[in-house]
Amino acid sequence: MVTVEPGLVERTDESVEEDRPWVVIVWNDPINLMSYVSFVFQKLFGYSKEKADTLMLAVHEEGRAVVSSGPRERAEIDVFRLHEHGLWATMQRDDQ
Amino acid sequence: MSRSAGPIAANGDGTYSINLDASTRETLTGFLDQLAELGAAQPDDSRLRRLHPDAYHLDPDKDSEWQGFMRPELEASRTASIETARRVLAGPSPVSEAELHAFMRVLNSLRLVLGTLLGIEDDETDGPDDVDDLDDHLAAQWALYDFSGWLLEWTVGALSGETD
Repeated sequence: MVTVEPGLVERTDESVEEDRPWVVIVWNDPINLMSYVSFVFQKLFGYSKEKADTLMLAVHEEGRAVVSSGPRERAEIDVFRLHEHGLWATMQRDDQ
Repeated sequence: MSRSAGPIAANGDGTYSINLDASTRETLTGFLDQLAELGAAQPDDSRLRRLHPDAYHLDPDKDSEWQGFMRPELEASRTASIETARRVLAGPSPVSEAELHAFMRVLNSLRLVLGTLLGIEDDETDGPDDVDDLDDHLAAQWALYDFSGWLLEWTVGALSGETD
């Protein structure tokens, strides 16, 4: 970041990049049972069964779904926990 | 073991009963041993592909860094879950919710390895029309894949409060 005058900070491309949230994506894997995927979403993210089912069906029918978003550190925790449960999860900056 | 009776049942006090006969418990434990032994396999062993997926699929450098740090963590977590699953299968005692969660994760890991070995890559992959046409090894893999899916379904149902 570059300070242009006291109290004002010019936002560079880099700082904008840092501010962009990360998204966690779960990809379809035909091996994972639909009931299991929905249950994992409920357990890990506290989602209602309705929301978890909606996300699970998006994964199943569209091939992937964004299941959470936030700072990079949060996304890494989410990805690790999804991997612990055997789900194919990746993370990337939003809009990549 | 009869499939007409539920293999996993909630006891109503926060614990669960595993209704599997001794032979089934012993067989499953043997497969858990094999799953545990995979931890010593080379990182590029294809059987492990689904157990250690990419995290940064758009950035190979970041993903390599991730794998370096997190792969041992993931292996340690799976090893601990396998140990818990062994205890679940070993005794007649009721199991806690946390223990059943670990058992559930291990069942899914087992399916991920089996599914990879069986070449299941998309929703269109069908099982064999007749297992009698398969050699014994392949028939056993398909049977275990189906059985573990059935047991996983019951486990999720019990933890979700959807079964007795």
